[in-house]
Amino acid sequence: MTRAHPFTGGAVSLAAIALALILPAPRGTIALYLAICLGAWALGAGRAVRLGLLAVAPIWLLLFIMHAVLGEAPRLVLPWGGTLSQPGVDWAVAQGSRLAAIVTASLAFAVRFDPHRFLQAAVARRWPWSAAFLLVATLDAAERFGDQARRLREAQRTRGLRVRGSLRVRARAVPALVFPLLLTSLTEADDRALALESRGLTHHGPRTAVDPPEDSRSDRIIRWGSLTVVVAVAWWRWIAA
Amino acid sequence: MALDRSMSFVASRLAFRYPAQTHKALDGIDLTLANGDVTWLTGALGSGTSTLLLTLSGLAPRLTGGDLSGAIAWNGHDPARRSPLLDGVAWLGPSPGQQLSGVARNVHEEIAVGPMNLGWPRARILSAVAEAMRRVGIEHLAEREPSALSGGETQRVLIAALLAAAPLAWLLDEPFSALDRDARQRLGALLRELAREGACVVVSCDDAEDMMDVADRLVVLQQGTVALDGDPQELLASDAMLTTGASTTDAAALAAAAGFPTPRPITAAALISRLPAARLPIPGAQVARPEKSGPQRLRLDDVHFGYDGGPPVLGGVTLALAGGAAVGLFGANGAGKSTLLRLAMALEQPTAGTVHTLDQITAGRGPEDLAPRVGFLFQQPERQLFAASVRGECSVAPTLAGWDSARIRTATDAVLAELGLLDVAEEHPYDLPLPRRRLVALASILVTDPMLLLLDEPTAALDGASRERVIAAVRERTARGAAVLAITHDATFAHETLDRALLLERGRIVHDGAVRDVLDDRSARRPAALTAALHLGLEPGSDRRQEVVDVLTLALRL
Repeated sequence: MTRAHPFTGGAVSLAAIALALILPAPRGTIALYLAICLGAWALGAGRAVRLGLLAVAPIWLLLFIMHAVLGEAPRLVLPWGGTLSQPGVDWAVAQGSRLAAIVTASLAFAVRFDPHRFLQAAVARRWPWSAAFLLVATLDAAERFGDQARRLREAQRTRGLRVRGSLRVRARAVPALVFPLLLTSLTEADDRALALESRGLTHHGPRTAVDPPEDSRSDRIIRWGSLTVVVAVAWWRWIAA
Repeated sequence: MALDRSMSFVASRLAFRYPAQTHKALDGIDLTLANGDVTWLTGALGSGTSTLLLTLSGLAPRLTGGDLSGAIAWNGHDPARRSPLLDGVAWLGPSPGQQLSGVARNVHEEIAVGPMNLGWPRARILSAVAEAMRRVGIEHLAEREPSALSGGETQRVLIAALLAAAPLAWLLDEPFSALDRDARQRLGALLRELAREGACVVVSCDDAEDMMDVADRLVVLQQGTVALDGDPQELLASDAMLTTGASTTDAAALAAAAGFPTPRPITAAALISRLPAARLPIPGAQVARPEKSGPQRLRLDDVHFGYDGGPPVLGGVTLALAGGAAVGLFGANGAGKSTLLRLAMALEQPTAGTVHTLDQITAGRGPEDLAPRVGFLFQQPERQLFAASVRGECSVAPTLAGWDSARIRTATDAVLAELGLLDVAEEHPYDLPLPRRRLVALASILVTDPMLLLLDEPTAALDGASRERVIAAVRERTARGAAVLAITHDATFAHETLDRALLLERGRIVHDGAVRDVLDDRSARRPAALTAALHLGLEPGSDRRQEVVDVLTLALRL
């Protein structure tokens, strides 16, 4: 399967986020959320759906308690006893589905994002290097931070620090990891600055894309289509109504 | 291919002090570095060679902070306030892993990063990348992911990445440190070619063997000043090198210890040629080193391993180590040596086969179950430090092992003294030069007297004195019954400390025998002491440096 141009995924995700804010809740946002989940599965970004569920589940719970359980009248009587606030349930479902759609669309973009292809595409389009590199470096920094944490954890484990086991054991290991991690990350940032400067990555002049991704007709149709859908829905919601 | 421009550096009364440091790292350097020469910078630990490269590149103090006085001129101008690569100056730091761009999917793209940033036409970039890969000999790595390379492979990729940008000047800090024998020779030849093409090549290196045939000029720094400046062959043969604390060649050090007059031989061949033709009286009976038969410390049975989604790294490794044994793991970059050590420490689990470390099967265990009875030194230990002081770093393992404070204090003092670190005991490890950080990492594992030491390049980038301390420390541990499994490209360390050598090729052990058998042109350099011992007819049990020195001293009296 030919990979989409790096800008296409970003355009579709942004359109999905815009639709989540525009579409009427809860029906529109629930449908959108389901569509995003299906799309993510189909495109091999099922991990984004799982991560999205993990991220929004606590917020769903909080919304449910704050609005559905503790919300105002009129109250719904449940078949197994007890009551829930009718407007609270509507609000919780509406906001919960809206939030889930936004989070999942963002995660699907992040999971499918290839920073190297994105940079090549940005260079080919003569986009401002600083902005494109900042985005990639930020994502890379997260990976580097993770690598550094792994190295430190390994170093500490080889000296005898227990980081696995009960919650108590894990909790005790956290400070031993966090403070050195922050310190070494600062030191690494200095080394990293030297490295980037020595490789010419901080230079602001023109660059050449060595392997620019193909921007196919389908990619362009998808991007323009996404924009058209957003504009059409916005028109339908706010102007036609 | 000759360069169409040239670059030279002039440093005048150059002084530099890092932020929050009281002493100057450089103190009044006057130096002119011309194109067409390979200049070799060396000195004892903390002499200022790395700092000099940083200031010459214009990266210090612009990015490091600190105070610079005096002047540096590139072709008569101030260093530009932008990436040195844009002005044709290539700088390579001592930690290659840190210097990867992070924007490349594979090695091919990594090498293209410099030319891409220079805005060259695409066709020129592709041609330069292919040529750089060919000259460094890394075509086979083209599709590999940069972050998944071994230390030596990364070092070669970075050299190719700089080469692709066709710099006029090279400032290289310990470029040989993680390279195998073949790659070292190839890099040495490349540096000579670059100088012949008109580049200005400056290399900071503590290994005299790598540089003596490559360098046109030797500059020795001592406490931030130029102590010696001259012809490498002449300086290495003189007494002057010894007084600065800088590393000299193995043969020159051996000759000095045996009392050879100056100019001393600086190669093993020259040393042998100076020996009397008559048969030498070899003192004492030559008794081979006894086979080590202590309790088993490590055993691998038909171990297979591959990283997630990657090709197999190890394919059926079987080995055993007894207490008191010191075994070396040799092989080319990427042969699987570091992975084997990680398996022994339970940092990885085999995909097939079993690993027994200290009679515990590692399956289902982690390194914390083996510490502190097993000591593990990472390939880049300087990136594995996490305490606020050198003493604190050494106290981590004994504290976690439940030692009382008096015992911890005694043990840390002893190990710091053993490795020459007492004077920096209260300093932050990250305030020390890179080689000393490596010593701190070694001290932090030796402090608990482990029964098994797993060491990945324990002497990389150390000066001669520090290397001697590490050799003595490791020999002391094996004499007490500890087993050692070490990866090393340092032939002297291998010859002085190891009893047995394992040669790893493509994840399999293809040789298991005497160290002297692998210390040849094939995988590692043969140290001068061994060459002399073979010439003198010393048996394997009596071929270490001190024994060779004793015989040579006798020979000189004849």
